[in-house]
Amino acid sequence: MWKYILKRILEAIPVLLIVYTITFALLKIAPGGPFDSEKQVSPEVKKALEAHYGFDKPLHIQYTSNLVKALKGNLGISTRFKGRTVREIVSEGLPRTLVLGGMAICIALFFGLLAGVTASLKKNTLLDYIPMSIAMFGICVPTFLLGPVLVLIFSIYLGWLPTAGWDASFQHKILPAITLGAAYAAFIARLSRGGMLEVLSQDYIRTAKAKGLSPQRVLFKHALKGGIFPVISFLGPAVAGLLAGSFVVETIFMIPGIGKYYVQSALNRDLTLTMGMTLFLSFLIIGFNMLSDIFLIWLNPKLSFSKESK
Amino acid sequence: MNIFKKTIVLFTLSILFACTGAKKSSQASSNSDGSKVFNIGNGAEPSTIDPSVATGVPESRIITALFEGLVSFDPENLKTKPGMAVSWATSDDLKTYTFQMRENAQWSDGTPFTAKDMEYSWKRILSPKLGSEYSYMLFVIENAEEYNKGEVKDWSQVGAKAIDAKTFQVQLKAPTPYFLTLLYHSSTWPVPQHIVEKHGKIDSLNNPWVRPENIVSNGPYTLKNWELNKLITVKKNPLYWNAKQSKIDVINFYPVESLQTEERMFRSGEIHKTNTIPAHKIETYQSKNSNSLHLKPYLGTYFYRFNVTRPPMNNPKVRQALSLAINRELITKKVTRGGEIPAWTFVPPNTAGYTSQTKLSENIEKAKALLAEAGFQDGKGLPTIELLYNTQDTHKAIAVALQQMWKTNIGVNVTLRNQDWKVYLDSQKNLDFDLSRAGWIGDYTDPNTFLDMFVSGGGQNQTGWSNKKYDALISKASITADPKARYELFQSAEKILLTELPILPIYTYTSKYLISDKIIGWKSNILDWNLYQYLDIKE
Amino acid sequence: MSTENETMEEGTSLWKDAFRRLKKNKISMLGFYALAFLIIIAIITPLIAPYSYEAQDLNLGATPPSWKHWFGTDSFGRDLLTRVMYGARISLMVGFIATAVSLAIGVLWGTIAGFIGGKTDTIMMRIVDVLYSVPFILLVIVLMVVVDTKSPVTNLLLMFFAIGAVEWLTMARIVRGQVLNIRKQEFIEACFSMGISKKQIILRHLIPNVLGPIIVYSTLTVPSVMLLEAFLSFLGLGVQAPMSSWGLLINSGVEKMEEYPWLLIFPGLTFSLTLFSLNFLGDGLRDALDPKSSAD
Repeated sequence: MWKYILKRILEAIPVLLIVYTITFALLKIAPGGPFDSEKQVSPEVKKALEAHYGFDKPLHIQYTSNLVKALKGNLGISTRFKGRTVREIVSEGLPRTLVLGGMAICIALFFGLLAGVTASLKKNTLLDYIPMSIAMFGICVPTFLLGPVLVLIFSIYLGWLPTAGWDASFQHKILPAITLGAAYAAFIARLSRGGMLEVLSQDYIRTAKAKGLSPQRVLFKHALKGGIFPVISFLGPAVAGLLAGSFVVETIFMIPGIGKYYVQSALNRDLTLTMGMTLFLSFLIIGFNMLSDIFLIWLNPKLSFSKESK
Repeated sequence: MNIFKKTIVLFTLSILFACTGAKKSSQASSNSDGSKVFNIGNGAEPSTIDPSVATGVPESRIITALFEGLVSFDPENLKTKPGMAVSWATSDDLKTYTFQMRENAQWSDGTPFTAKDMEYSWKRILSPKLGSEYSYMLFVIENAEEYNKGEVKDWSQVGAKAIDAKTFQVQLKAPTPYFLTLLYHSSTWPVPQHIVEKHGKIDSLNNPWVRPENIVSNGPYTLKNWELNKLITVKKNPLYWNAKQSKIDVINFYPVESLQTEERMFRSGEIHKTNTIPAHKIETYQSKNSNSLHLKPYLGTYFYRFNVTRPPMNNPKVRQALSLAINRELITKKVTRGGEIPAWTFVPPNTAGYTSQTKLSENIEKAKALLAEAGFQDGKGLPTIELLYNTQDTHKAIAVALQQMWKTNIGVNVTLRNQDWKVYLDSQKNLDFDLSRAGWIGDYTDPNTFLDMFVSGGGQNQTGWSNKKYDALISKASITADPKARYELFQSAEKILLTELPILPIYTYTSKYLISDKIIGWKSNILDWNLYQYLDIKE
Repeated sequence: MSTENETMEEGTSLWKDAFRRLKKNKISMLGFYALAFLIIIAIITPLIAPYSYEAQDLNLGATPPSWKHWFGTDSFGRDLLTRVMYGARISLMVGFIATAVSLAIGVLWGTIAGFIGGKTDTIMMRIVDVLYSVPFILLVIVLMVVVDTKSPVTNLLLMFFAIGAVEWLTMARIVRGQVLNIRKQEFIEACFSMGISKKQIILRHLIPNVLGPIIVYSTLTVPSVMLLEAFLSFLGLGVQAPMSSWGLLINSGVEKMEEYPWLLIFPGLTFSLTLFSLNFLGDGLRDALDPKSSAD
């Protein structure tokens, strides 16, 4: 197992390098720069601004020097938030996004698995249709609709919760967490139901039942392990995405996390921040895909990633 | 599955339980200690709050709380008032201004404020390496532009000098009647030399002197707290020369970007003022809560640029036809709905007393005739016309409406192309469009800020249009001292502009937002600029 | 021992069998008919739409449903029913084509990676990691620059490509996970010992057994594709105003839901109807294709 983990960590290096290269290229090809604005800047001013960030140097020098700096942990200064380092910006916003994402994952896993597993066990009964319809609802109602509706109900009309913002209180967190978690809960519900159905009709489940094992034991010891395979595979990138933050939810609820930066830094051509966010997301993706694969092995020890021997 | 059902019930109950209890903790109009708090939805996280570097409106709102310039103004009528300078005298040739600085003026750390601070600040904004985007505001000063471009290397040759600690003298290139109004703009306001140089060089862009732990300011408020993308808090500055005027103790600036979220925050009382208001909500507020609705004229024009370098927009008749064939009032009443005023001129009417005598008109028959004269009877034979706009609901709505008007009224087919902001700016700069959406907010109250955009090759021109007579008129106006004569020159210039029509004026902006009637003393002026020291909050 | 009265069970293929079973599933067939209805309406929209999708009446503005306008009108006075119908054309096309593309690529990619394993799996999955990480918005922006998007057809095609490029990734991961799970099972080993070619194993034995989650995830991909389209059209890639799609209609409907709720309700309901139908049909398909369901 440890050999496998080490292998995956080593593989991460070329992945990160390629991501860095592609992103760098995209940023330089995309038209418009960080200093373009409605009131046109004179060429002299533009040059002066670019000099502050090293954008006036030849491309290959920018490429290598940024890479070297990044390896040392210096991700540069943002062009959109003058004077702020990328590291500072990300480290300030990250805890909030993590908390929000974490809460959303818990909600999603709890309700999603609950609904999906129940539905698969009670297939084609009301306990199947109702949770699955609610799940479909979760998919049909996009985040940008669910958020405002929840705010209108619980904040404006009922007055129980604040409309936006983020601080230590639970009241500020609950609506965004539900909004964010709902869509994922729906996905998890559907995927787990599908996965469970696959497994439940397998011979080894029948054997277990025939052997006289209690339904709970069958469920938890045998069925669940196979049934949540698709959920685990889905969760890898999904969790990474959640932890990277949701642009929509953070905008609706004015949450100072890092989710907004993905979209905005690219739209602002904030080269340093975009690169910082991309590398960060890449870390998360690689990490969680790896965790998800490890989890798959743990669930099914017969699994192996080795080449087909025959 | 009883366990599951029980868990769900338990979960929901605990959430409901956690929700009850004090809801709007920190966002009332008074703190628990009775201090007065003004909560503002500021539209976006400021890029910086360094006066020499900042460019946007959200930035200027915060800077207005923290700093003050040489002169101040009356928010009611925009008349010049003393600021850091108590008085000033002009020379006979109107080219020299001598300012007397205020006695006992201080920075918020107790350091005395002197004329040397003014000189340093202007040297800073004009430093070639700093890259300030508003350096051009001071180009009316002798050798300022040359210094900024690196052509003059010796600062002492620039016409801005501290004669002594209490006297600041400015030497202009030519008589500039609107010079004092230029100084309303925050880019010309002072920065503390002792703090700036403590944390960096005069021309280092990312100088951390503006951080809450470092910053020192001279205005009615000081920076107390700055959490990126979350909140900026300023509190009353007791060392401000007019501190007893300020009634509000604390101002919170929230960087709310979503218009819908902002409106909801206003409704729930979490903020007292919004940055803007979505068009479809204006009617609701007009009928239900018109006291909170602020819709007043604003110094800006919404217009389209024509690309006159390629067909069919290279033909003035086509351009005029397009201008005649639309219904501006329908746009302002039914699409934008914010009380905007249809634009028959490019310079907003009554800008510092100037209104263009040449006016545009609307006439579908005339439009059809012009189009036929240009060889495109009923719109036939026209090459594809593309209308470029950047991703935003208002721009899209206006473009869609105009597209239909042209199609229905004169048979001209325009296709729409939307691009994200930066790509749009790039396309506009490279003249990769036929029609492009645009807007211009005046930097100062004078027709010049609008008209000098379209001189040949000017950076803001971006239409490819060039007219030597126009250039000559603008250039002459910049050295004309007599206000009447000056305005005559502008009349002639605008006549050329509105006849050749390299641009299509659509409406004059309004400033539109919600503001709680708890706020006392809020004034309307065409710069939509208020000074916080004159405000109060009703409990 | 057979007698003359017993008839032999006819051998049938997996697909015929599945189709038969599907037809028996009432809810799934309901979903099928609903979808078919929507698709047919979408196809014949230009013939039957009551109004033009772009003709405005600014003085009319937004009005609630009435006899003249069954779904009401939007802020420009445009008939909402017509716009929902034209929106169906865009959304259904995007939904199905982009999902099909992501399905094709994802299933192939995941199966090959999972089946062959070893270095191939590593390289293929690391490529997936890279593609996940690259900022999507930038990719779209650069795509729009590199490919001339002046004609609406190119614009749409490019959007399909962009969406497909993003959506196949999770599908590949899910498929790979399933394949890894199954490939060690006895019946696969049996296939090997029987000497069946790898291609045959993949096509006739592996894929049918991983179909379940694939179908489920596809029904989940369609809505997220439709919403992604709204986001892309917002950026300028895809649908240009005044044309619209369900995603865009819902987007603008949300903003106005307090003032003009019908602008949200009708596109929202149509969108949900499509997804529910797809969902039930997908479930039915999954059940029908499950080779381990007991014979009827």
